[in-house]
Amino acid sequence: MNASLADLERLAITTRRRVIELSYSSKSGHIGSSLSCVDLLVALYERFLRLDPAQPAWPERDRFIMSKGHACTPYYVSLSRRGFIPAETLAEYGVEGGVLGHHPHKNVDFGIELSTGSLGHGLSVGAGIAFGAKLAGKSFRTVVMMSDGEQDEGAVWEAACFARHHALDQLLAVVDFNKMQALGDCNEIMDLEPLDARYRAAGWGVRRIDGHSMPQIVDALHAFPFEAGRPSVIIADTVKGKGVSFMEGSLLWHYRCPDPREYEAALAELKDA
Amino acid sequence: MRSAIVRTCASLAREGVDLHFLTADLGFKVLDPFREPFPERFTNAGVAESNMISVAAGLAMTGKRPICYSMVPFLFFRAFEHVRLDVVAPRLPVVLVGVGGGLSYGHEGMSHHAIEDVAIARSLPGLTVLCPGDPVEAEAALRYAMQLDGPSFIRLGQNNDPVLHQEAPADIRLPLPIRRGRGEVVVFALGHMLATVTEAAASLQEQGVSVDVFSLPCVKPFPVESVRQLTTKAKVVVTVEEHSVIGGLGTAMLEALHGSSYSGRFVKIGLPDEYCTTHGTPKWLRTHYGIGAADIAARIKELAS
Repeated sequence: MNASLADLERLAITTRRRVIELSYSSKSGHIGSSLSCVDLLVALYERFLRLDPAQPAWPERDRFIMSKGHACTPYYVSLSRRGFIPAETLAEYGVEGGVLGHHPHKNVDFGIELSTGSLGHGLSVGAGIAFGAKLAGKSFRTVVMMSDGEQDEGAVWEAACFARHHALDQLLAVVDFNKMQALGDCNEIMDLEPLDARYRAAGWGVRRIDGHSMPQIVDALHAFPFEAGRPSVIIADTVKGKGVSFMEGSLLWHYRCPDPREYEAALAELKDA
Repeated sequence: MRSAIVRTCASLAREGVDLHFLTADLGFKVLDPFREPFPERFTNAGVAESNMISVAAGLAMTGKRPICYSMVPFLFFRAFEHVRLDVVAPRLPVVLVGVGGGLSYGHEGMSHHAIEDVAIARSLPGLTVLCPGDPVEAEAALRYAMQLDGPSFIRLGQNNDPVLHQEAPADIRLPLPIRRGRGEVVVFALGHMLATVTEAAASLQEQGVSVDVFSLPCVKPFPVESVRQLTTKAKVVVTVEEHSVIGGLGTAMLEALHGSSYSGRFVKIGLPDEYCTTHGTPKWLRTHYGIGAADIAARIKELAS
């Protein structure tokens, strides 16, 4: 939990490399959505979430829900680094008969609190967990990472209203706002802007940051909860495919997995600092 | 089958049908053959299935013929009450096209699988439920659904299913023959399992076991009389589906045979009453669950002997 900013930035590069490797070996897609949330996940797992891999079901642990379950590879990598998912299990990602599939399946021993893959469930479940903690007088935090396309789902806004009404100030939502969803640009499909103002109008404490700036991410996490008696949300402006030039801002990389040439080219761009 | 559906949508639009296609932000590239020529008839409603279904109901109330497209779990399970209350109960002519029936989205996991949809769909009053077995049936199913004066659900697999029919079926509501034998061992396949069953039947033929194979694309309304006629000489009736053994084709078949003169053996081959917790391609998962072509052939051979 004492990683320096430079450590976190290095770790983000390592994580991106691992994301590319896992996608390549398993021939799975969703690389763009995975690369956009790497910095956020690294900061959350290395500097924020109170977890204990020696006792994964520790009742006082912070709860993290990866509601954008399609971006599972950086999530698995982060859990592996924190000591939850064994390296050999991670290496079998996407293998037939394996335990780690292309969307997370609930496994508390691995630090996976909820099966996800259908968007728009995580914030409601997270609100329920935070509500349960509040009713029981417990102090652990609940963090939910969502995608931008996920904000289209009505259930997200039902959860937002519930969390504000019940003053769930130990609930943190993080929106990976990479501006693209499955069939195109968010602003062409369902314009979400101004997303920060929408959450503010719903009564949340809001911080809008550059989701690839480690100082800004860490600063926002330190400031949690942003306002007393209100749930908090980080709107993180990100780039789909961040870190690999030919994947950045490209819808194709929502689906494609790299061929051998692209694989080498991607890794060449992600040199350890 | 997805491509056949999209192609048929374009044909129907050219033929003057006032259709409107809605997707919940799925169908990358596969929808382009419709979206590009008919942008004014195409709406991406975003990742907001419940809203999409009720918007389609509203469109139908203005005389449009809406087609809603997504993966089965999101289209049908997530938006279920919107389907039930806004589309099915008022008998609106909305066509729900769900991709990824059964285990078609293999590696994506149980959130993307649909093993209970046929059971639920069959229980909705007035909903026509179609599970085409190949691209030819898919086109016929959509054409039939689009001329209905009520709601329908078309369940598809993934894509790249082989073409198994030489020509368009005369009536998609009836069991469709794929292979005729002596009428003693009759196998009915649901939806995209048709290819797997056909493969099993070919291997049985090589082993000297003759079977009749029918696709049964219309599970509701169920072709009770046709099924009874086709099984009059039968000693063994088998249903095969990539769906829970509860409530799907096998259950519908039992209901149809109950009260008939059929006195032979009946076996339903399908998925167990459990959610998938392992990962693999659809073909790998079928073998895992004992519903691959070799498993089906072995079961039938044992029954027929």
